[in-house]
Amino acid sequence: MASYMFQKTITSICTCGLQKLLPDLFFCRHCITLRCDFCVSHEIDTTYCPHCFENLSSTEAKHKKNRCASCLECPRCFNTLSTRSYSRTPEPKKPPQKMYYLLCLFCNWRSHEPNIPDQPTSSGNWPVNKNPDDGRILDLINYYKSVTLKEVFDKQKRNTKHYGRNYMHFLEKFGLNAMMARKKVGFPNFHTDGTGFSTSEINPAEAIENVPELSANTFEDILDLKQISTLEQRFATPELQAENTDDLFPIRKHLRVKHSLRCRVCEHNVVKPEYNAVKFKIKHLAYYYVPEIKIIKCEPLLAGKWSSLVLKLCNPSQASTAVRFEKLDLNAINIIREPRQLEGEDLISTPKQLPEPIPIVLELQGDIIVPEGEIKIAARDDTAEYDDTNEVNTDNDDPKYVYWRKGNKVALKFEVKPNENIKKNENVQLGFVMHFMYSDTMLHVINPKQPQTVLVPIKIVLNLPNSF
Amino acid sequence: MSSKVKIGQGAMVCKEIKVKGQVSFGASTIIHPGVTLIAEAGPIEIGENNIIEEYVNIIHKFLPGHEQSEPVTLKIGSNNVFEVYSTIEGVSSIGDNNIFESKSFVGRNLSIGNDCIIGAGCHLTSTSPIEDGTCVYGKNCTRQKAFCKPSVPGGHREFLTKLLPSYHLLRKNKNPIEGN
Repeated sequence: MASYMFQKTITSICTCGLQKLLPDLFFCRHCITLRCDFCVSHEIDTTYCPHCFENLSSTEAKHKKNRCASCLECPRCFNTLSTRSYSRTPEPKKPPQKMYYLLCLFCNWRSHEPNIPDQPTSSGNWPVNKNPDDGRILDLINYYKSVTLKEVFDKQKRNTKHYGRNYMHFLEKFGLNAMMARKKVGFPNFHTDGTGFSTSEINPAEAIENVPELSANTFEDILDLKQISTLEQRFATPELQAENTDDLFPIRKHLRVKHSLRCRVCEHNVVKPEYNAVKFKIKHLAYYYVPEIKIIKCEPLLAGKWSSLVLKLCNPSQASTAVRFEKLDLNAINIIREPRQLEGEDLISTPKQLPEPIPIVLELQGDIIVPEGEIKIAARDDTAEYDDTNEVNTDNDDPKYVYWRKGNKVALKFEVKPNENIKKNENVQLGFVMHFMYSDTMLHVINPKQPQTVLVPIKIVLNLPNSF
Repeated sequence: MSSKVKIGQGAMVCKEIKVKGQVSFGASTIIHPGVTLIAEAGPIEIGENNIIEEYVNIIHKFLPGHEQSEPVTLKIGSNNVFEVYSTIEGVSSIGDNNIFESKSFVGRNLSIGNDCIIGAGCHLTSTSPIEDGTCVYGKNCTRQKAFCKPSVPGGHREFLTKLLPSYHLLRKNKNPIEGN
């Protein structure tokens, strides 16, 4: 996100009680409230390679250890490697042969012989550096898998002790149908008591008696730091951890995940990426709906004195909205209001409660006077910039509160008074509640009526720098 | 601006550069427009076959407070490439075959060997010399061994010698006896 949006001075409190910046928040159109990444459930949509954009199914990705088969990363600076070619004549009489090597365009690392031999094809089939202990690791993984399986089986056996006299559920549970089928054909039976799970034997690791001694000049040789790999480089390949930069091998690129987000309360999708494209099918981010607040003018804050503060509100949605302000009541801050709902809403399931809302702990260091009454903000119009005749009706505005107005933006005057006992160089934390009119432009299947409007309260916290 | 410029055989120096002090350009060196060369702390000697791209600053000044020191010659070797916006400030010496990538900064009292690559955006301010065949990259200016000699694509120099004079005015030697 563009850095200009990261004004840390203004944060909104999500429904769950966390303080977040507006660009980090989502807006559920069905619950009509803010959601942050803790109150949505994250689901893996697809796995893909960030370089070649190949989509892989989850089993395929798991099989390939979540790494791309074709894209390689520089082992030195972790940027994507590119393939370069040159021609060489292996024997004087034969025609020249085109050979390929890998080059990092950022740090100028290149694959070099004899570690990684140059390849005759551009796609490469670059050799994978085998870990010498691969077999042992595989043995251990298999062993632990069988142990967990045995544990699950034992647990099941314990749980199914008191079932009464009806044994019909065992038919499916232990695959009795399959067992009968086996008996009919004449195969030996499965072991149902768990003894059949043979945990494959592994040889325990053994300590070696004779450890090779360090050479005498280990501590005396002058280190060539240029040749020694950094910790970052070693951690990138934890199974090898080459100490010399000459032994670094290209790393297969890690796959990334596109995830879709689902509101935990109403189970509607909040964000859903499109398959095979860098786009979204559904993208309900808060800054598409909630008026964005920015500080444009703030008089120096003095302890116990009122000073004016001008905030700019910008309506990002295509429908006009109205805002109303309210003081933040610290006593009622933790009361979660009933979930709002539109008429004729098509529910997927009954709304659930969020697991546990986090209690909001907030300390305000001052008083604030918010504009009274309802302030209308025009809809966003991309063509307004080129239209000179675009006049905004300012008749209904109270000049006491409205500083100026232009297109979908309005600047509002607030009054701020920091507490008497405010410390030097401490930020003044202030809060208010902004109710904004959300108009629902979605077409409902059941109730294709007029667009409905709902007032949505959002708690805003200002963190104003203090000046003395 | 008082300046003494000596241009070698076949060198191309654009007119729109800022020069202060005594600067000499070796043969076949190409200087793009917008370059600043300040030789207050002694003359700058630029070797052969260098390419200095747009908005490169090569500043050879005394430290503030040491203006009366003995002038020192700043020698820049041959076959170096200074990419766009790289800044060289108060370097003690530069060898041959180096590449200074875009927006790199090389600070005071640093000597650079041969076949080095200073990565894009690297900000070098330490004084430990950069040895031959070093590659500096990344935001922490990690120094590691370079596996290949830095090279400029073959046609680049020919392309520049063809194209630059058709769009820019070139500086000529004031003294007709020397070079060109």
